[in-house]
Formats: sequence, structure tokens, C-alpha cells
Amino acid sequence: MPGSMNEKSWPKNNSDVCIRCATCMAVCPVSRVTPLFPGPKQAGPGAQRFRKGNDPSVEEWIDLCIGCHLCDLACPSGVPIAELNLLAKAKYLDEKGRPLRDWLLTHTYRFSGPASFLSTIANLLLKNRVIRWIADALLKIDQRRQLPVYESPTFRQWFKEHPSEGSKKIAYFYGCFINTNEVDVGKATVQVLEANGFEVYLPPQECCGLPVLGSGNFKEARKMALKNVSSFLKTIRSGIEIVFSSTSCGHMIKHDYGQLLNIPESEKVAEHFFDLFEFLRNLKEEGTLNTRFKELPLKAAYFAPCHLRSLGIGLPVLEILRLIPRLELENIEADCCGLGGTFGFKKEKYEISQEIGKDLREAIDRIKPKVVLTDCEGCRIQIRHLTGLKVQHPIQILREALTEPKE
Amino acid sequence: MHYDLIIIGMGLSGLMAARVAAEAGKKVLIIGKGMGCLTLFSNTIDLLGKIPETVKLEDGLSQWIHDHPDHPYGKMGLEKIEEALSSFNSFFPPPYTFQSKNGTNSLVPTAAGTLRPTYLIPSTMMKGISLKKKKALIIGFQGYKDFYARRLADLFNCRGITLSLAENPQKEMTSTALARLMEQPFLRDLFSAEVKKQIRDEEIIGLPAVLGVNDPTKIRKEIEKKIGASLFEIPVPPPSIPGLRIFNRFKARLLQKGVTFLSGHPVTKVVLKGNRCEKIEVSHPPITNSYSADRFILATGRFLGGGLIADRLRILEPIFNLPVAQPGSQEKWFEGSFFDEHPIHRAGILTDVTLRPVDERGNLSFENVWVAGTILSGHHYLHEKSREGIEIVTGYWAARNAMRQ
Repeated sequence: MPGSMNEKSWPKNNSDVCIRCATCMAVCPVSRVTPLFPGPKQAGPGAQRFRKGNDPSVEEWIDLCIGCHLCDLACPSGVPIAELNLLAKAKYLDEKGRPLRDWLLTHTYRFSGPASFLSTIANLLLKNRVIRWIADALLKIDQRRQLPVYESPTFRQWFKEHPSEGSKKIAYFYGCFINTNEVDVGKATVQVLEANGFEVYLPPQECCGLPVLGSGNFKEARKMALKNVSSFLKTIRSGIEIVFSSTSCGHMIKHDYGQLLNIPESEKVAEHFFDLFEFLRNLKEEGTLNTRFKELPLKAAYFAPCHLRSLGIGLPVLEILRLIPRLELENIEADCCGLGGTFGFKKEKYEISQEIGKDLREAIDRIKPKVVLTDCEGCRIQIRHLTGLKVQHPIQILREALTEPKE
Repeated sequence: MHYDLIIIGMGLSGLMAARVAAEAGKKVLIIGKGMGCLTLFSNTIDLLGKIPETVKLEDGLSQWIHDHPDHPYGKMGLEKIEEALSSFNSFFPPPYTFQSKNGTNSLVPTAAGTLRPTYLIPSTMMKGISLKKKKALIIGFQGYKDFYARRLADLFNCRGITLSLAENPQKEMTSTALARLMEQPFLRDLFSAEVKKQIRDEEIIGLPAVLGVNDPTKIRKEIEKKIGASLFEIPVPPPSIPGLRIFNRFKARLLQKGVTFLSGHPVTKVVLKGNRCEKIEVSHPPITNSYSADRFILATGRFLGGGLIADRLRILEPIFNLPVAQPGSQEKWFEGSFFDEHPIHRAGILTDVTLRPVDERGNLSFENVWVAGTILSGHHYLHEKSREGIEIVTGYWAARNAMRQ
């Protein structure tokens, strides 16, 4: 199903402001591990000078940009490199067509309902070697990559039975993965917010659209975005702010809805849409954060996901978790986990994904933690796959440290 | 969010300032449009490359300070320069240290084929300064286009070879890809075996500065043991791995100290009250975030990172609109030839001795703003070869002075 290019979504900044300084080349995780991708300098502003709207794309390597945005954060001239790459990728895939595999990987939300309901069967199927071999051979979904298991009941079902109480209201965007595959992260979020005096509300929501946007399908991403924005506007207009626990979904809604997809009024959503730990840090600033923590003698390592870094809010997890007595928390010095959403599941990209991850694994090995914490589900999948360690969302540790978590 | 100190600019001067404030227990935000320019230039630490290698730098510098009272060094004085440098050095304890040879400038061979005078040299480059006295072999890598070993060998009067590593049949390689490969044990074995075969009677072996990002001294030692000769790194065009090592070291330590790093989005507005700055606004479409602080340090560099901009008539400082010492009218900005000492490079922010910005008559522009790094006026770092020195010294003292208030 081809997406289409929206003329209005062409970059607002001129790629000619690139001065070819190569700072981006120092941080690109992909060009560091493979010569197949020429790196952000060449792929973004370099090639942009030769791209014309009507000429066919000639660069198949554009599909190797992992979409981490680290180049954007490094550029001293403000070139929107990741955006240029995404637009070029969309054009390339529009011309070439997208395989069924990409459709399946980016539309998991469509079958996650039944998959959760029949989770026992679904999980057996997903773990089955023959099925994984077939997926590998026919669909090019790499069989070395374990597919995430489905949980039942879903987060939404759990929440229906859960009376939330508090003196103030807060809305929660949980995202697809938490709903069907990592329900406990959603529970922990609700429980911590309640322990801070909030009644949690779940506004109607669907997939943020990042998986389809990441494979260059602007049209479908737009459809999803329009639905979400109209729902969130209702929530915001009734005076309730929204938090999210998945940094990639959050980044998509907060920044890409307006900048890339031109969704009307998305800027109003952005103003009231907060990363969970950013929100908790704001409570801390106001002096209203519940800090009745118990001692937690544990060695943990924290990995800051790429899309958290591009949210531009610093590392609020470190600021909050460092308040927990006896929790030994180290920041992992590494860039990008290498999963890149659906990128690392694709057979032709698996090796690249693993090579990028290797640097992260070595950084974790140096710390030797008992548990690894990270805000993004993609990073958690990848770090489990790379290290076999216990990997959690930081909110799960925060819940553990709160003396009286509500059941 | 409110901070004790906000630093605008993520280059070496901003990082030095952040370090001083963080170590004094202050709540610090460092914000950059990008990640600063450490990966562009800073392979070694220049202090004042203009001083001949035959003169003790301390003596040359004393004279320079005496002759140039308006130069950032002139404003700081010798003692303060030494204090700031030793603060920088304490971030790099052995094995990866920055040192001078006998307190003088040394000539470091570069990938451009020049011998470049510089002061503090990373331990992995130290052997390179004896290039002229010892028999040397220079090694390049097939596919790495920023380093031509044979050409360098011609210029340096030694032997040069280009290695093609069989397990590594890459068409094109960058310095970051090479540095990462050097961190893999199998590649080091392969490289060492190949070099050992090629060595004749050479005592020192030069290669591009790609001996890994994280632990270059360990990698160097291991290869030296295998090949039985000394190894030295040669600075390369951007991205500079030695510059990245400096950036990463600062970033890791500062995060540990609780400093907040924000990069990728520009400061678009400052909110003033009288002659104080109250807060800054950062545009991150579609939202704008604002951050307030008691004190601010401007360390945004020169034209490359947008610390200074030029319209057709004047040089401007775009964030605070501070008074800029102008290089005369536009026809006087440039001399005739590329390598001349162009007056435009003397433009910059005027300050008092505490590094607070002033106008032409010496009146203070702001009470709670300090300025650090190459954006300052009164120097010509390209010709003096004083970039890192100015960044380290003024970054350190801007923060010290700001903390005192």
C-alpha cells in the first residue's frame, strides 16, 4: 500500500545550510558499522542537492537510515537531516513499492487484539521454529529475532477493572506495545501516578503511526494522527494533561505530527503532552513529588533512547531515580541500541542492527548491572536480545521504591 | 525549569565552564545548537603555537601577555592560564594524557602533510614529534580517503604503505568506522600481523588517529607489543576521533555530576529584565521551552556554529545582541590571499577582566552574563594557534567568576 508525498511536508529548512563539516559523521550509528550507508552528511544534505521531485530515486541505501535523529542533535548548522532522509526514503519506497512484510510489521496493532485474547496460541505460533523459518524465508523477518509475546488480559482490560482515584486528573497515552505486550509498564505508570495523587484516565487512542511513518508511509501515518489529535484535543480542552511512557510514540505525537505531517492543532496537543518522567520532574520542581521511597539496594544501568534525547528534555529518569536510597544507577555511554523499531526485524538489516547493538552491549558489560532500565520498548527488546539481562521501564523501579504501591 | 547556571554552547569552553560549576555543586544546564565543534579541530591542545619550539612556552607566553593586554590571555594572566590548564589535565589522568614536550611547543605531523606546532599532545601522538629524528613508516588504509600514506611519506621523507585488510573489504571507510574496527580484537591481530610483515628497520609507525574511541592507549600498547615498534597517531580531517574522545569524556563525567545536556535546538530568545538575563527560550517545533537561571555563560563560538553572524555591514552576536568589536568596514574584512591574517577573524565580544560583556566605552552590558571561548575579541586564534587554550582558560574562568557572584 503506497504512501504518498505531501508537497507541503517538504523541509522547512534549506539543506544548503549544511557546511559539510562532518560532525554528524561522528555520531551516525549506521555508517559506523557498515559502508553500505554513506552517512548523514552524504545521505541527507549531500544527496538532497541532486534530488528533484520528478526524477526517480537512485539511492537504495536511503532505506538504511535507522531514523535515530542523532545527526540532528549533533549538527551545528541546524540541518534537519533525519527529515531529509525520511522524505527521500518515502519517495524511494513509493516508487519501489513496499513488501507485505513491511505492512505486517507496521500494522501489528490490527491483530494484537485477537492475539492477546488467544495469547497462548499466538505465542506458541510466534515461538514455533517452523513458523519463524517460514517468516524468515517468505517474509524476510529474521528468524534470529524473537518476536514479542502477547499478554492477556491487555492493559486496557486490566484498567477497566481498576478503579482509579485521586484528587487531580491525568490522562495516559500507553501505546500499542504496553497494551498487549508489556502490560506491567502500564500498570506501574498508573500506580505511580496514583501514588502521587492522580486519578488516571485513558483517552481513546490508537497507534501513534510511527511504524508506518518510519517506513515512509506518510498517508497512513496522517490518518492515525488525525484520529489521535481529535481525541487528545477533547481531553486537553477538559483541562487534563496527557503523559506518555513510550518515548518514540511520544516524540512522534509531540514533534512529528506538526512538523512532518502538518496535522492541524497538533501544536496544542504538543503543549500538554509530557514524557512520564518529565512530568514527574515537574512535580519534583513544584515540591509535590511523592518521595517516600524505601531503600532499594540494586545496581542498575540506564540507557537513554535516541528519541528521548531528541525530545530535548535532558535525562529526567536519572534525576528522579537518583532520589531512591541505595539504588546504584549508572548511565550507559552508548548511542542507539540498533533496533530502530521494525528496522532490526528485517532480514536484510538484522546484521547491521546487531553490529550497532554490539557497542551498547559492550558498554553494559563494563557496568555489570543487575537490571537495565530504558524508556523505549524497542530498546528493551533489543537489550534483552543482546544481553539476556532483566530489562525494565524505569517506572517499574520507581513503583518498587514507593513504599505503599497501590494494588 | 530553573538552574544556577545556564551555558549556551557545547564546545570546549562551554564544557569547561559546566565542569567548574558542576564541581562546585551547582545545578547546570548546557545547551547547544549542535554538539559543538570538538570533532572538527581538536586533536591536540594549542596554547600559542606562534611561539617557536626553541623557547619555553611559559616565557613566550609571559611576553605575549605583556605585549597584548586585550588578548584573552592578557586579561587572564599567566597564573590563571596555568590553573585552567591543570584543571583540564586533571580530566585526563594516565594513561590517556595531554602533555607537552619539555614545556615547549612541538611539531606534530598531520594528515595534510604539515608539521603543526602545538602544545599539549595526547599520549598516542607523542612519538610523532620525533618523526624527523627516527626512521618512520606511515600506514594508511585502503578506502580511507582522508589519509594518503605515500604522499605523507614523500613529504616527511620516510616510507609509506597502504594496507588492505582482507577481512575488511570495504570500499569506503570513515574515521569513525575505522576507529570502531580497531576496537575489535580480531582486526587488531590482523593489522598487527600485516604491519609486522611490512616493517623493515623502522622504529616508529604512524597511522591515522583511529586507535579506537574508548581506550586508545590499551589498543596502542597491544599493537606495539605485537609489532615490536612504537606507534603514533596522526591527526586527520573531521570527524576527529581524538576530539570525540575529549567530548565523550566531558559528557560522561558531567552527566554523572547531574549536568543537563540539551542539543539539537537553538536558543531563539532571551528574556531580559533591566540589565539582567532572566531566561532563555529554546525552539523545538511546535513548542518552545523556557529555562531560567541566576547566571548565564555565552560560549557559542564564531561563524562556523553561528556564535557570530555577518550581514552586509556588520558582524553581529545573534543571541544577546552584544556589542561586537568590528573589523572595520566590509571592504577591510579580508586580505588578498587565503592564508593572510584576515581582520574579520579579530571581530568578537568585548569584555572586562572578569569576562562580562561590555560596550566600546567599557560599560557593562549585563550583570549576570559572562562570555567564553573563541567568540571573544582581541585574538586571532587561526594565526596564533591558540584555539583550545583560549577555550579552556576562558571557559574555566567565566564559570569561576560567575560562581563568585
